[in-house]
Amino acid sequence: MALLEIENLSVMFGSASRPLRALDGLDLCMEQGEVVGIVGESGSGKSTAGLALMGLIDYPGRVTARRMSFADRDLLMMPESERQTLRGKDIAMIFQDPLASLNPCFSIAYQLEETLRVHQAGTRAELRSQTLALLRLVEIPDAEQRLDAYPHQLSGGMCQRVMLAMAIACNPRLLIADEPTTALDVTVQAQMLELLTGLQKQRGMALLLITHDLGVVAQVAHRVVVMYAGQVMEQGRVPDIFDAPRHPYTQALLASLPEYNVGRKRLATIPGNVPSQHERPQGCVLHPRCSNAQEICRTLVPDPAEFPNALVRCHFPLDKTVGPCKQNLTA
Amino acid sequence: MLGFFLRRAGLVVPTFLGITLLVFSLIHLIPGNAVEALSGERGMDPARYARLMNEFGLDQPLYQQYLQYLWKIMQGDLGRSIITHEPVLGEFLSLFPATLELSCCAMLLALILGLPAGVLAALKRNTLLDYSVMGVSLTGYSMPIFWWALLLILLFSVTLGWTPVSGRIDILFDLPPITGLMLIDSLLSGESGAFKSALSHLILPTIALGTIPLAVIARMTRSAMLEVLREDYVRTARAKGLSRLRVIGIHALRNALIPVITVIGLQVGTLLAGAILTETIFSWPGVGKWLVEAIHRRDYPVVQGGILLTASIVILVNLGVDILYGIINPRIRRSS
Repeated sequence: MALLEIENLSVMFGSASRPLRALDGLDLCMEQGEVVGIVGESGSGKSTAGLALMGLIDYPGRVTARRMSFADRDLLMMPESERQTLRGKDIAMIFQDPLASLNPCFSIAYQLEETLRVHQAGTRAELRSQTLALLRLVEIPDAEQRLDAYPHQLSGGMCQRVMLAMAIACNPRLLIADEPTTALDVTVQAQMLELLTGLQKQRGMALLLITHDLGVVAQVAHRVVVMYAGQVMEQGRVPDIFDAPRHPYTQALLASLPEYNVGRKRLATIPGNVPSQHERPQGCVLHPRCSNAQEICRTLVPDPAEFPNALVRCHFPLDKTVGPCKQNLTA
Repeated sequence: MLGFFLRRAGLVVPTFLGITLLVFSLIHLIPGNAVEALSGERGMDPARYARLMNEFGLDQPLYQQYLQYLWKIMQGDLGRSIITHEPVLGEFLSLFPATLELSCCAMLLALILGLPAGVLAALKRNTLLDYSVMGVSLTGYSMPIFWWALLLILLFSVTLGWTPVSGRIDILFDLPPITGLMLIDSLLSGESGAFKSALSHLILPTIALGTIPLAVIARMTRSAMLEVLREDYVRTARAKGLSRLRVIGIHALRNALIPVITVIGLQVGTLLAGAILTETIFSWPGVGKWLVEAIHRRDYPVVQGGILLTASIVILVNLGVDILYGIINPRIRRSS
């Protein structure tokens, strides 16, 4: 039985007559202890997917799905009070900007203890020692002294460690990490990632890693979901997709990595930007930026097609023999 | 924290000196003659004039007069009233509890209604509730106090007869002043009906005086709350599985209160200025009414002393607010 099963998850903003789809038909299945990476450019709906899983999409946003279940419990039919007890306990989330994500008015210890207190019983002293143990677990130096520190007294990396401690405080079965290293210094990024994956293995959590960094995904994830303009372009096992992408978009993303551009003067890029929710094109959402685009791409939205170990949404999926270095986009 | 406190307290000194300078200049800026103004006598003979000139120290250079004035203030000597010949400080202290009682009740009303109204308006933004709260508060803010007070009296005292028109307590009660606060004194006196009478006398002045601070606090709370609700840490609080009440009441409100507290401090000034009008209209025997009467009677020592003391209170309250601000906002407390 899969831990998380999502079919056709959509998040819409705007009016009922002119809905703006921030997320359009996400299918995702995660097993206990699995690491899945969601990659995509800014505005591709990655974070929206994470927030929808947490149940943190606010009015006027609307969340619909054919199926959304976590550990065999239906997240959509669940009353809000039940969802609330799930949040922070079984499904936890950390965010991109660690300093802004911690409340400036409360000490680290208060914010950590609060998470514990909401989901479990315990005396003050027990909570305090648990909090200290958590800070040590996320490798915060001089943890005793940091307990009563306020967020503004810590560095960004420290704050993200505190956020991580808070997220894993109640042993969640699924951790959603939304760009956990993006706001950090490059030197700290690697440490943070190591800590995150170390804890994931140690505790056997499922980890949904939302990032725009393909390198990170290649390093830690078992499977990858490539998103563009709210839709899943391609998803499958990491080795398969990195070795032989079937979607032109995945291929272009890989082609823009420095590792694939050794010896060249300029990095390959994908021209143009992700269309905003207001200006999604007809047909395949990628067609204005895709060099493979044909007439049908402009009119008809492709359905996800199943391949061995992969799901691809393209009218003209690439041949397995085509390597990622070949340029197929308008570059 | 101590350094923060000392820095804030240090700022009080120049402000206070500025006020003394202003109040000191008053007696030389008023039309007519300073000796006549201070003695309250007109057309006196030259010998008496010279003697009084010397007595008031007006024959000395200005800076010496100012230093002497400061010296007297330090000793608590604010001069004597021309009319009653009582020390100004003594009169002020006997009347201040009445103003304090009225102002505290008005501020309490403003906080008890203003904070929840602002929070609710922010939570239900762009709904009928939001528009109503903001509309009513804008009306309240724009309403001149004297007119608002008269409307209240006309409706509740004259037409409906629910509340008394003026005073602090029914004249049938003769209570010895213990604390000077009528609500407490009436309870202490043990006389039946005294507390009820004192309370009913307080209602209309409290509403009249509290309306503007109420409106300002409600609007400020709403905008601060709207800003805070968009912050990442509110999302984190929800992601932790906290109840909506806790997310809003603890995580959001604590941050939203920071700007609101500054505004509350500033409103104390408005409150004391408003007390002058409110006390006059409701014949409330407080500092405001006393000051207005002193102005009418050209009782300059009282005007000088009253302004100085009232301004000092506003300064001290704002110092208190600054310190409270430091307590509630750790970024201020620990930085620098």
